[in-house]
Amino acid sequence: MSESNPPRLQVNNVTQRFGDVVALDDVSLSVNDGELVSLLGPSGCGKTTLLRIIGGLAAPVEGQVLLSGEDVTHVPAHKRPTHLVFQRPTMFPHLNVFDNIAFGLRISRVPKAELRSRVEEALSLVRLPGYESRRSHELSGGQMQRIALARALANKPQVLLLDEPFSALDLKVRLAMEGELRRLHRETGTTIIFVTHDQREALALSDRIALFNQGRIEQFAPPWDIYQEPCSEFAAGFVGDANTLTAAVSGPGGATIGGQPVSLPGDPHAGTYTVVLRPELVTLQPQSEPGPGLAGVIGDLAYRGSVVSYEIDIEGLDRPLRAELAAALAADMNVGDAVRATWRGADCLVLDADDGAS
Amino acid sequence: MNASVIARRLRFGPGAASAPGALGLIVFFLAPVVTLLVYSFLTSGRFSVARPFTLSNYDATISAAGTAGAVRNSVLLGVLAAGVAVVVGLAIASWLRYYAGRLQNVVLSMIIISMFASYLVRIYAFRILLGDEGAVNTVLDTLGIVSEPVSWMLFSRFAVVCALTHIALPYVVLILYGAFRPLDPAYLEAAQDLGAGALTRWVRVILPTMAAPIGSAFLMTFVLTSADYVTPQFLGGTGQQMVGLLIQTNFTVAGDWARGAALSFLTLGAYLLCYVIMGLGLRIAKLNTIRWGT
Repeated sequence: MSESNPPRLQVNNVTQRFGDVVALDDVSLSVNDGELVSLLGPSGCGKTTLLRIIGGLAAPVEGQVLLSGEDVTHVPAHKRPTHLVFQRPTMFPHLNVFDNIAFGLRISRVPKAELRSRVEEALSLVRLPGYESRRSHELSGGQMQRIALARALANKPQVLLLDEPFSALDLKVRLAMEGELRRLHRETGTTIIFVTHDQREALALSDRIALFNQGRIEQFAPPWDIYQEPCSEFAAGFVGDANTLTAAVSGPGGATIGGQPVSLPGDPHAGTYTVVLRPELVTLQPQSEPGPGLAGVIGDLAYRGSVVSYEIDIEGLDRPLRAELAAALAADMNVGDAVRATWRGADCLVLDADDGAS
Repeated sequence: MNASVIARRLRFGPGAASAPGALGLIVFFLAPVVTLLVYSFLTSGRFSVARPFTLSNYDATISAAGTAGAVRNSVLLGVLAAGVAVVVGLAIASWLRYYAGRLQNVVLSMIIISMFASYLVRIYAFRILLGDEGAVNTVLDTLGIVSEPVSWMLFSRFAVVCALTHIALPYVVLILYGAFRPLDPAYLEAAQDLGAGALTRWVRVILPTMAAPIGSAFLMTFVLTSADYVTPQFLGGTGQQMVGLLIQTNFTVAGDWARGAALSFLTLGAYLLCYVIMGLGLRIAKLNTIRWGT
């Protein structure tokens, strides 16, 4: 995309209030053409509210929405080139699959021959050709959401909006649908905004993730960065599993966690810091072997097939430290064993005590 | 000894439990209707019927001078009242479903409570509303819109249609409110998202999915209003005979029970025909049963 082209979607300083509740607080977001961006966050964080504002089903009290540089803030949904797939199936029960997909095309008076070919194209995109004459009660939940995708795609939206479209499906169907969505995105090149509260889904699907917390965007970055370099304790805890520890630094090389000496990357100056440590980056070794690390006792372990999860009770910490070891490495450690938890210095992330990145 | 053992000893089938219900239906519905059906084929005396069996009651009823006019009047008033009730009822029911919010239960209760008031009291209320000194005229006069009372409102078709619509409206609202429940707002948002403005949403989503309940509500209130014989007597003008009134006259004034019964069954037959036609129409349009998603 050349420099002169405006981004496909721009959200500028959008604020939304419902009564006294601030649902969105000065949110800005810019999405490039062909990007798949997830709006991720816990329920009630404002992600669906933003999606409805982008789709034109609601207007913000402040701020702007621009599509390809054009201000559409107050253009209602039926006049906007965005299309939404809802969480619950919304296949019209009085129409069959063909007429459902043709619904938008008929309203915009697409000629008959083109209409037929576009419906068929959409159906083959979602891999349900031959389903034209089915009604909604003859389809499974996953099939209905595919039809909803086809119905939106048939209108060739500038931005495709997905509001947790797979959250009502069984896990197996859901994983298959994620694969389908990645393929659809590759094949059509459509710009997609995907709302989800499932961090695993967001990590697996997105080009970039906008992490929401209490009506604000906490972090907007590619999945890799969000996972590797969360900007806050919230980001670290919401995306993936994380131990958040409090470290006290008295001077150069004098860092302790729960009173035990540790080494922190970047040699921070004196103060109190939040340290984020992913469980899979922790390694355990018997206390009998000398070395650095936090000494503790294995309080619990859970075998998960490819990995084993440990909870280690460490003196001076109010929560057990979680560690995840590849099953092959974990064979000889059991509950009650005295171990030392270590990690490579660069593998832990140090946040300021006030949650800002270090 | 448990119940099934007793049932086996007494040789009752599993259907025995429904016997009280069946008995009720026979005593309160089937027996009167069959009695009346037999009357319609007997020869009438004064306030009595006797053999021989005959078809002449039906012949005479159909060819009687007043019948055609009464049917015309009944159909006209019924269609008007039921039609207005359905249009207004649709507006109220959709408002209740999608916009009323916390007012929903309050308004629903008010509608149900209005049905508790005696039918006669409500008809009299329209005399008070529509009369020369009535509420409507008082308001028009106070606002300076008219200089003398509008006198055509009371004792006219207008008054009858007003009262019949008022009586039919709660039924329509309750039927349609129930019917609207599975039509989740998300369906309408999906339609809007696909380019449908408010009118298109009504035409392409709401009316087709609600076709069967709308048809039922219309026919039910059409039967209720076109067969009404009290309202026209209290609020109607002269010379506006209705079928219900004709039946009543046959039974109470003329004492011709056989012809009254024959006219009753002709009316019943006409209503059944309406139901069959509506059912077929909905079936052809494939709108007879809407299966909402899981």
